[in-house]
Amino acid sequence: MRKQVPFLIATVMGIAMVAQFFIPTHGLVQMQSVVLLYGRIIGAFALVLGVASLIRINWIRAKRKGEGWTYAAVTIIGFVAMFLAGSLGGFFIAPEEPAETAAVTSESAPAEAAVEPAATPPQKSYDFGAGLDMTKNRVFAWMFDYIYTPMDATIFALLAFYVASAAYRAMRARDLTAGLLLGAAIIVMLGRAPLTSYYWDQLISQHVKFIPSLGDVTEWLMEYPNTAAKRGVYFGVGLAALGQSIRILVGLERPYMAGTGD
Amino acid sequence: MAQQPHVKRDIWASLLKIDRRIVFVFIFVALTVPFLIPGMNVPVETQPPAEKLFAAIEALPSGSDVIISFDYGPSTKPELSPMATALARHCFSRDIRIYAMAFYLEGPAIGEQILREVAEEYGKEEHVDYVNLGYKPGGPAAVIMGMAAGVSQVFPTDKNNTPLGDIPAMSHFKKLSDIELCISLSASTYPEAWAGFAKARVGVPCAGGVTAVMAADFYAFLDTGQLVGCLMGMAGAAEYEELLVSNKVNENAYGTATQGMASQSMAHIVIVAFVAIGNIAMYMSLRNQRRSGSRRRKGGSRSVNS
Amino acid sequence: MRFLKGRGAYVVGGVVVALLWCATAALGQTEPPAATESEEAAEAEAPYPQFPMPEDPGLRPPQDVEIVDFPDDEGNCLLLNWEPSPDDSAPARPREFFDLKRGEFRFMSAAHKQQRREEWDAAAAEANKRERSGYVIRRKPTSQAEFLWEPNGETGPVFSPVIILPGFRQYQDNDFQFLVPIGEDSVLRGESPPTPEELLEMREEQSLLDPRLTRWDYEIRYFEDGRMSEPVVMANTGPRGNYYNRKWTNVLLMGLVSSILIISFIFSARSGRELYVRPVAGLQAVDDAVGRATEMGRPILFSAGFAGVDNISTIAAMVILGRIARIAAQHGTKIIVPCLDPVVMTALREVVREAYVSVGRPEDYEEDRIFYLTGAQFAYAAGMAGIMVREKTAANFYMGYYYAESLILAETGFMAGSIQIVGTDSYTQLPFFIVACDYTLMGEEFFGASAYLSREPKLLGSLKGQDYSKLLIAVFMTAAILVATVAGLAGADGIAEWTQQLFQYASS
Repeated sequence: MRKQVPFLIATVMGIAMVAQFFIPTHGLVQMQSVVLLYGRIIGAFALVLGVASLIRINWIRAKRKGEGWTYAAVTIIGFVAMFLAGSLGGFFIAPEEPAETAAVTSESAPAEAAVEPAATPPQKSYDFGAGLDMTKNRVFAWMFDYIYTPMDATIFALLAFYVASAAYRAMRARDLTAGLLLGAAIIVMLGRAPLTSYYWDQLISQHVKFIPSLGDVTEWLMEYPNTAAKRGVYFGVGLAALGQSIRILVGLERPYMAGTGD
Repeated sequence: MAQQPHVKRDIWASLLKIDRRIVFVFIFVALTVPFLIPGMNVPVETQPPAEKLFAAIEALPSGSDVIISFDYGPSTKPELSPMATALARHCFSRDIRIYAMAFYLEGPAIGEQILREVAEEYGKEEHVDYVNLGYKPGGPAAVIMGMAAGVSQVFPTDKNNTPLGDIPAMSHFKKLSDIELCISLSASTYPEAWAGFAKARVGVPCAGGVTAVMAADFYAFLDTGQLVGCLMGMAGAAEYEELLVSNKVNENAYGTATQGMASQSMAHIVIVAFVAIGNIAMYMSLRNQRRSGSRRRKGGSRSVNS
Repeated sequence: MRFLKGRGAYVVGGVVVALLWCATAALGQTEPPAATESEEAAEAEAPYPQFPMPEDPGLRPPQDVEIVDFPDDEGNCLLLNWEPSPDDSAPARPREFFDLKRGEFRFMSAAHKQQRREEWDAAAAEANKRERSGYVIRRKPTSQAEFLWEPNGETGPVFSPVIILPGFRQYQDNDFQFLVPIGEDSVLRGESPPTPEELLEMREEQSLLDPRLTRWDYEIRYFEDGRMSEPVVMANTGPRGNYYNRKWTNVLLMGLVSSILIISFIFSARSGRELYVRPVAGLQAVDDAVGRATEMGRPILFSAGFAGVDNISTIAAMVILGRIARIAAQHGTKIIVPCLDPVVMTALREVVREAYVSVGRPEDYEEDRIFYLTGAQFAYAAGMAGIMVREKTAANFYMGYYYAESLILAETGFMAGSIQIVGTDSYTQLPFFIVACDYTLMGEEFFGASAYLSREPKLLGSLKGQDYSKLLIAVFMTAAILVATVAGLAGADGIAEWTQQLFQYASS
């Protein structure tokens, strides 16, 4: 029973979702949107679980003061600070001037001018929704612009360094195929750099007839060999995903119950 | 006499295993120095993916409506925001209305900043010439198909809680099929989702702007016409800036992307140089090994799978 | 005065004229530009057509108007087809602005670019005309007496007139969100259309009609320069829900063929037929990696990728995690699973718990080792990198879908000296993983991992079925390319086109 019920749910829902793809009737479309809605609701609750687990783990680590406890403390401080700035930031928002808003509305849309002033909602003392409105909540906007954005961009920027070290280490023409790959990589790298591609064209391909422009060669490499290889991988992936789906639908594999069935 | 080849081999062997921190220093210098030298702009040659997108917008009559979806966060801002700026300039210069939205939580804030700056440049007004609809969770399928049925079903208000009924520009955008072009700027595969839903199901042309890391993914979509054009990485943004200037849309369109091209070019050259050094060193040390009769093969790195 | 001769004279003359011009412009600045501005404003506002216009019997309405149900949909769309009015001089235009499939912008010459530019200018000039002529379409429920030009408080906001550009020959009406009130008693009041909340409320109260159950009337007219033709009325039509989406026929066929192949191989494997599946180095290394971690007494790190729990990559990652967690549980090796998505986290906890239970060590399972790290892409990469360095993980497994952060993960792991095994179908990130990791399961190897690992005949059978499906696709594609090429060369364009169309839907 403990095994059959989840399997039944997975199979029935799986087949229904596949059917929905081919059968566009109202009922099935409605079913799909309801399922998507449930997914979102579950996601929202799971987020609470996730955040709770994050806080708990880091709290314990910070309290024990073991190795690296400072990281845990920073995580908690960061979480609390950002949370407070986002949710309580609404308190620091200066009330809007209603006169100004009305003027803008009437100027830009004469048709809307007929709306009674009383129809505009009364100014609330605290607007929770405005907490994340960065044009108003300057505390949150400051933290976002000057703490979160630079940190996020820094991690992404590490890629430049890692690409260089990985390329130096791994791109070696050990045999013919590796050599071809290396050649293609160098052409694309130089073709994608405006400086080299421009001077290649100016100094070489404009004077020597049979040497094409570096940009064109790059485009060709990206568009044909690259896309061909990609499609090959995608055919395999598509069929493998189909295979995996069938294995799950017929119960050979039950990832929702940790691994293979039976 | 016997010492000479030994010393040589040592040089090649050490070139085969340059410490990664040395590589990092070279990359750092190559990236930062061009930024510190003012006016070090490199000439940019435009490529078809960017040209196609430019042509698509150029072909839109004034008064058209375009969606720009800011599907990226702060991390990829340096790469994708120049695209947004250039696209917004192009649209506003042709009196095309822009509807900004986002599948990324941080997207609307980024879009807000860019649109406001460019709108000021062109004397455009929020709610008349552009609208920022904000972030919508729930995934592209639900949101795009929801917009196909009616924008107000998905976005009852704009980002700042203004009801859509109070926004004059929204009278031109009741449902997705009112839109002439959807552009998704993304560090992941959101343009694919736009092509899959907005283009395939609703028939609205779509375009993309993606980070260089993701660029290879999108050539197939250009071939099939699922995307009318695509800006590939910062180079794509620089190409668009170049297109704006050379087609006299905006003489001052050169921005951070064009500026960044010098850094990018230098970094590419440094990487190619290191790759070349590694290969020459490998070749020389293999030759030396063969000469000295040793059959031991030394790889430069750990075993790498095929 | 020599400088006044020759070129100098022109310079001085030019400067004087320019100064004079500036002075005049400065003095008389206020009047003329103001007039231009107001003219421009009038120009900008005036062309938008105002309805109703006087009817002109001389203007001919569109011809051959027909209404058809939009095929293959839920039943919320109608198609109006017509042939242009004989008075409509605009060239017939498709919706898309230019033919992109032909890739005509590739390697454009300067002359070509100039020509393009002229064409765009012409298109823009023509577009200006659009405000002055075109087609106007109105819709009403059959039960309503008259077509309205404006939403009326008395009869409800039914349908605003739609203006179609000249040259177009089709209108796709899927604007059914302004649903109509039932009967005469539940009439919508007020000027503005209902807000979404109101709509929802009304739908709940069943006071709105389902478009599929309502009958509709349409009228279409041609208008030009403030006059409009007589209407063509199409009465009593309505959209229908369809029971089959014909667009996906080729998907259905191929899906069925592949599924039958896969299932038949599963059955033949069940009956004991020997199946050979080539060895995959990365999969053989999974057990070794866990073993190495056990020997070194260091933990294993597992990441299920950046996709949600509904993604097939994540599901494949869950299957592999189940396997790894079982081995780890047997050896008593610590396994760390930082998650990006809280739903995935919940699912993975279940997988790991089941694995510990299945080897009889439920007491060793620690829930907190599978935790939510963050939902942000690069924050996750940073967090993972921190864990690798601090915990000195012996083996890192990256399974699932990845984006630009792949190299940050893989390179940090390389620097930390961990054994790294990747399984992913994210094509763009494969190169990064390949250079920085020890083993990479690409695409289908990744999805087939559970079958390879368990060596169970039924699972291997499904792999065999996949391979035969792939062979079938390859044969089909080669044959189609040959047929299209030969037909094209032989001048049989019909056959060539038909073959191309076979592949059309696959790309849309």
